Amino acid sequence: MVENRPFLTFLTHAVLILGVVFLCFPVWMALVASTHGPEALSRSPIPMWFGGQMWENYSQLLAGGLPEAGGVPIGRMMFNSLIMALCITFGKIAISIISAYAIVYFRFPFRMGFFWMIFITLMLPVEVRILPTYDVVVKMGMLNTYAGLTVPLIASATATFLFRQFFLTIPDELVEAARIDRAGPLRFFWDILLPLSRTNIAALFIILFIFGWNQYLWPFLITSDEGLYTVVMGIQRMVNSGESLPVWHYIMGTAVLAMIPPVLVVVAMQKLFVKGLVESEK
Amino acid sequence: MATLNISSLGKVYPGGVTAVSDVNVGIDDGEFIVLVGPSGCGKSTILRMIAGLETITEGELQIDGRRVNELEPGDRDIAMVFQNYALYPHMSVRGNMEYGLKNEGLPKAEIAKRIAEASRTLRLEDYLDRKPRQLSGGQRQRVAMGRAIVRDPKVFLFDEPLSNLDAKLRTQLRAELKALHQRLGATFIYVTHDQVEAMSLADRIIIMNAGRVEQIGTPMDLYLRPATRFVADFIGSPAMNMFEGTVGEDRQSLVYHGAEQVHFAAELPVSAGQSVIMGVRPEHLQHAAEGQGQMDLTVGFLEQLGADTVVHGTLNGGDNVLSIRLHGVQTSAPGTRLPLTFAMENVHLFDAQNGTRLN
Repeated sequence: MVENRPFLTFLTHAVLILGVVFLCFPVWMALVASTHGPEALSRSPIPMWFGGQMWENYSQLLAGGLPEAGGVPIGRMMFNSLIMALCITFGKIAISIISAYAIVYFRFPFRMGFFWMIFITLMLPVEVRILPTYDVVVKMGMLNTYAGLTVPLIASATATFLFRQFFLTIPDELVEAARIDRAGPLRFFWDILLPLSRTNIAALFIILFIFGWNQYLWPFLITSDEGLYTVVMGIQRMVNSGESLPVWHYIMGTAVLAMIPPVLVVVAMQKLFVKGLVESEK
Repeated sequence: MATLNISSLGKVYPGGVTAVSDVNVGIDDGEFIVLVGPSGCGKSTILRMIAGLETITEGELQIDGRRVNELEPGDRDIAMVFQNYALYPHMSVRGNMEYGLKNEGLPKAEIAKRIAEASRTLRLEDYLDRKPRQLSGGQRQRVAMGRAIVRDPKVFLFDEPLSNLDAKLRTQLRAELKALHQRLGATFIYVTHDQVEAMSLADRIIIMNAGRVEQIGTPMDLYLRPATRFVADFIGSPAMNMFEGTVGEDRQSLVYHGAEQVHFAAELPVSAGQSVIMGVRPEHLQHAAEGQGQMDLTVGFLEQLGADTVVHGTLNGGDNVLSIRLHGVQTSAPGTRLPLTFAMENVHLFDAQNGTRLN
């Protein structure tokens, strides 16, 4: 029911604008804070408009090491985060699409058993199995390595489940047509299934990239080498920098920088992402 | 171009359910065979066994004298057109048609030549770069046929290819299919549940019921001499009139509920007192002069079709439904009694118990 009354139009817009302001205010604050010097943020009232130190702050963050963050430049941390997020994303997508393919299209003994085993891991988040996982990683000598950062996070029941559900909606006739067209299992996967999953992969890519980027607890446990710190850890370390006052202008700058890659990924893949979520045409 | 030899073919599913049993038929080179029957009769299963998409659990299938039971679908030299087209949605029309050829490893020039030829035949030249979703249903089905044609297979298999289309398009594509068959001269095996499609397309029809073959024959065989009651009922529209009863003492009448319902002009080739089903097609009944009728129709309602008028009613006002097809525009008030006659050669007699033909 769409009613066209000026008052209602005004009201709905007012509510929307209020919501937007509410959501964007912290981001605004972070942006503003990152352009001031250290003293400006310790005084009341805190500034609401940009200061003049934007250039100095950001160049210091990106290039020079901050003693508060263990002396590692933010650029290095961003790079670590990127490696971790991308490895987790690609690893998860690759592993889960292959296992879903096996579960849906091949008849092998204990097929459903394997499916349920994968499914059950959905109920065990990283935090629950963190001790045994840590133990395994230590024994495999993967502490302070990129492998240790990413491999334990790659196994994914959610993505396997999602691909399985998608494969089940692909009509059997398509598989049969491919068989008649002499496409073997690998060809069918590569030529038909993978292109058809394109939008699903894009949607997962966004979700998993953000998941990987925002990992905090796991990298915190697995790395002690400062060269492997991720940006999310960096922010945390700066806030808890012991005796001295928190360097809010740097912290906020780091937060702003840490936001950029996920935003870029979303913007770049938005079209496919929405298509993947709503598309029903097969 | 190929001959097919199907002997004692059967399909039993692991649960013990028999979908098809004991099918025997030899198919000649270039024949257009239609498998017809109600849904669940096993016709698609047979087609899928020929294609290699279902394993054959009993009997043997030979293409050109070579046993193919164990061959993969891609190695049987067949092409199949599916009911819902089964086009690869992410590939263009050209991509769909060339996919099988690429997998076969044909040279590029040969592929291009075959696609040009097929798309000319099917009038698809202007659509080669479109995606399937940009095409209408009829065009999609043509692409599916194109995908089959370019492979130049020994046998074409069609699984209800027209049933997703509207009536007008169906008639049009039916004619195109027939023309295509004549031009290619290949062996076609076609599954449908629509008896009109079967009658108009087939050289020979295999009519199935509950996993068994009821009859194999030309459309006219099936129409003029149905082997079983099921075939008689399935072929022809409106359906054949059937009355159950016992043969009278004089072997010239059909008795039902103690009263003579139908009188025959000659003796029936069955014994008196036998339970039979008598069948006569609506178009074989004629309006007779008063007192000359062999049975009476009590008019219920009329279907005016223009060229014909179908009169529905009951036999002698009883509970046996009866319909006749009269030429041209006819009128008749409900409740009127129409005396009817029929020729002896148009009478079909079936055993009341097992439905086999008696005359």
